[in-house]
Amino acid sequence: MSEQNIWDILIVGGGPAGLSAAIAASERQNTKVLICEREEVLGGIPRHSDHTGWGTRDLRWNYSGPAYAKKLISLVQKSGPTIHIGTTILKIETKDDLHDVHTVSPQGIQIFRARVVIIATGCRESTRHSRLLPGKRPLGIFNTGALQQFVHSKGISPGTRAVILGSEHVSFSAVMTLKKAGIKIVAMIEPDAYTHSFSPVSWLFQKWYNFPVLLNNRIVGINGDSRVSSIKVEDMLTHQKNEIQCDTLIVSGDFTPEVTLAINSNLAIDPATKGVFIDSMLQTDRKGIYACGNVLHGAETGDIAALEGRWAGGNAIRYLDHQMFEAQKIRISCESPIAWISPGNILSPSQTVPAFLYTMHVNQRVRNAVVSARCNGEIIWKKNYGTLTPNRRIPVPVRNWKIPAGISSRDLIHLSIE
Amino acid sequence: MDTQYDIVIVGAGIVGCAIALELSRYNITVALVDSRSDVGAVTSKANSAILHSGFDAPPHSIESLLVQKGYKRFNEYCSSLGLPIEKIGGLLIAWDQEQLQSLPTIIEKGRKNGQNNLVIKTPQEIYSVEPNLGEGVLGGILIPDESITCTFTAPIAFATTAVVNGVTWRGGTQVQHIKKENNFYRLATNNGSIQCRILINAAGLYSDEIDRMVGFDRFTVTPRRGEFIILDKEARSLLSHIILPIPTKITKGVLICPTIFGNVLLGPTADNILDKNDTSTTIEGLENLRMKAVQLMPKILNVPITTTYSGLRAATEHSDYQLFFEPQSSYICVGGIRSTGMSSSLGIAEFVVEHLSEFDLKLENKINWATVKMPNIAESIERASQSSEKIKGHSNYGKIVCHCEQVSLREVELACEGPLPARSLDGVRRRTRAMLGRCQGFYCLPNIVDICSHQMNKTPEILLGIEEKGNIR
Ligand SMILES: Cc1cc2nc3c(=O)[nH]c(=O)nc-3n(C[C@H](O)[C@H](O)[C@H](O)COP(=O)(O)OP(=O)(O)OC[C@H]3O[C@@H](n4cnc5c(N)ncnc54)[C@H](O)[C@@H]3O)c2cc1C
Ligand SMILES: Cc1cc2nc3c(=O)[nH]c(=O)nc-3n(C[C@H](O)[C@H](O)[C@H](O)COP(=O)(O)OP(=O)(O)OC[C@H]3O[C@@H](n4cnc5c(N)ncnc54)[C@H](O)[C@@H]3O)c2cc1C
Repeated sequence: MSEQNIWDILIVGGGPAGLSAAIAASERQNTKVLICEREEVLGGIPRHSDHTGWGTRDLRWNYSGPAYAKKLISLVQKSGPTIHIGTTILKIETKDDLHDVHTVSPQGIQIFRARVVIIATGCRESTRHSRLLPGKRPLGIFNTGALQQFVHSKGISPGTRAVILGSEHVSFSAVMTLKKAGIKIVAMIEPDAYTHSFSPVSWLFQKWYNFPVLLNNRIVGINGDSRVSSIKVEDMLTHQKNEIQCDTLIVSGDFTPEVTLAINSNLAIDPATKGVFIDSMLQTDRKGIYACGNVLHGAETGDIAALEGRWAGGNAIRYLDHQMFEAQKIRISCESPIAWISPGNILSPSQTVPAFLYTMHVNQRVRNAVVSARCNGEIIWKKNYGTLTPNRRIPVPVRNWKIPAGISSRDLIHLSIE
Repeated sequence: MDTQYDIVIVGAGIVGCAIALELSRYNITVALVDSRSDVGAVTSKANSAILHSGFDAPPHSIESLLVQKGYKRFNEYCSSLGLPIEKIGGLLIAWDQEQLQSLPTIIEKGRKNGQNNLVIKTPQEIYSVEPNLGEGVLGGILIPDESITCTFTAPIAFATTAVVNGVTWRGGTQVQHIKKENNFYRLATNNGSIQCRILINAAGLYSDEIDRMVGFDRFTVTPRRGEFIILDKEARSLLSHIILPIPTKITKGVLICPTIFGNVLLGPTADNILDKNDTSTTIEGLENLRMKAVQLMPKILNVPITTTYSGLRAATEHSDYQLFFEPQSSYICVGGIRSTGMSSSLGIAEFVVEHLSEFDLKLENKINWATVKMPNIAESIERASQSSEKIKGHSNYGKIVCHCEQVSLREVELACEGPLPARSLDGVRRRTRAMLGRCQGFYCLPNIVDICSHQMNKTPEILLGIEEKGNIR
């Protein structure tokens, strides 16, 4: 392959993260940037998510999902990278700091060579099966993602009476889509004792759309042969079982990063987030390969994914300009009920990172949570967060941590709730 | 007027399809009838997909004979039909002293079943080839001939070849009553009446009921449910053999096994149930499997789960197959094919043809008989979307519509065409692997519904089962 055929920056995935990375990367002069997207159109998840709540932090405007996708695409087109749609990236092989990116598309099987690769492959909701929901396997069990594609992109109303499993933000996104499609919402089911989205949101939605939220309930059966006919739920406090007649089950939230490409490319996975392992520069465990957006951990909002994309794109430029310096990684360990922190490490010598970057999640609700970070036993940071809820972003101001001088990869930072 | 055939096969599971394939060689009229709209849509799609060599069948049983025959034929037919086979071998593991003591008996049993290549292995030998097995292996037996195959492709391949060679496929046709009139049978179905001279009962879980409709009463099918967990492709590198437990009288036990699609299967459980239609998975069953994995291979517990399902074995009060040839009544019963039917299917079919000489029917070979080769969907063989040549020939082979399983648009299009086209999403799933992967449709389902809707000329609502009133069995 001749020099001319080498891409400076190749971005995998054309969602908010990948597009924002492309915009940031294109700020460097004479830089060959390529975006590869496996679908026929750019935009990622927001394309189908036809309600507002998109873009406030990156574009400072409250867009609808499709409008947000359109806006990002137009910004990308202005900044001029090359775009290959219908192109799936299968794996990345690295030799001498150059990355061979294996692709398949209607043009055939091709290998693109690049100096930097940015992985922005997003995430998906976990399925009925991965949650081990028992019962039959009739048609009519969908994730929110599929529901929104049916309704918004295909104009298909995929059912008549729906039960929603989950109460995260995305579960309420499903509520709006079901309403739009004229599908009656029969109930929302949440195994925990509280809803995971903001309580005013859940309260308002229940009132507006008139459906019960069954807290402390779990699904113990799915009935129906060709199509769902009912769902059996159990109240975990009273052990009472109920059958709910419906033809649709929306299995919402509980996101899984789309790490297939990373795994096939032998990149490290963070066992806590199940996303691609990264440092605070969003570099993976391999030099010159970066990752951003929802492929890092279960879903962030689109605007945060976009900001991460800009950070990754900017760092890619600094890498090409040889401005990145070697640093040691100091691991941050988490103690339950803290599920994870992402990135799961800090760099030494310390570097300035954007304020939004570090996020943690808890695995159960905690009231009056005082979170502290210790380094070798010494408290280096402490914060009272009030109530913490699972499946919600909890920003961690790592900038305020008092990192001891001379810290090295032999040290460990421990994050816990007092 | 009724349609009339020389032979009607009731049931298009793998057994009925294999019989149809063998009968299509002759100059007779044959119909393959099933209540489902597609072939292989019941037990034959929900099993462990192991091509058994027959080492542990009861010696001298019909099952033993036909599994061995079937195994041989399957291997002979695989390249012409495009059936994938991976001969990865089985490792039967002893986890306690009693099991360890029983190993020589199993070797002996294998010998009686014509399997002379079974070898006892030490724990060291076993851990050196399967380092991820749980602790506590005391010994085991290597069964080199145990293989894996595709339980989706096989019945479709058999039936397609049958149809191309003149067998009539009548899907969506449930046999409800059977009446013998003079020298023919009249089958009343939900879809008109059918006549035949010879009736073959291959109705799986309902083979006892068909047998009674014909006027016999000799066995009862009690469904024995087996639940499965399929693990993500990440797990495939953790093992290289089919890891088998020591079989008991009731079941072959919970095994761990690579699948032909590059995943790993854990299962099946064995529970007798009442409802022949109850293919539910259960909280207890799935939990039970996870507990088993703790001993067998704890590492797989960290691998994400791709799917779960259950299949129903047609178990009867008898241990052997319920095969009856009744030349007097012009009737053949191939029922109660419990847990080895995929392996034995071609053996059963051959056996049926042999016995047809006792019937009043002349079998003459067709001149232009030919097999049909199925498109490959196995992971270990080049897939269409991996072939530059294929994509050059038709660019839709490079258009991926199911990302998790790497299925191309062209493959979906072709699944909806041909002599035995898919008529449902499940049909497309089994012909192409689309929607079968880790996302279970999060990304691809709406698009594939759209494509199928055009290809099959059906509304999306019908494909999604919304307009269907009531539940069809
Ligand atoms: C139903 C739903 C509702 C939501 N509602 C909101 C909301 O109201 N507001 C909000 O801010 N956020 C919302 N979110 C979250 C938001 O969707 C994500 O934060 C955002 O889309 C993440 O962007 P991304 O670029 O990381 O991933 P994605 O948007 O998922 O984009 C990833 C892209 O990569 C492509 N890709 C993946 N693998 C490959 C490969 N191997 N080769 C080539 N291309 C590949 C995919 O096709 C996709 O286009 C919602 C999410 C869901 C599921
Ligand atoms: C858990 C489990 C694991 C197994 N593992 C293996 C394995 O690893 N290897 C192996 O070789 N075998 C295995 N088997 C066994 C194998 O799956 C079966 O033996 C085989 O599928 C039986 O095929 P069949 O054609 O007899 O029955 P089926 O596949 O059940 O087909 C019968 C057909 O008859 C039709 N039918 C019924 N009644 C009527 C009617 N009245 N009118 C019209 N049509 C009717 C049904 O719709 C159905 O399509 C397993 C089975 C189970 C359940």
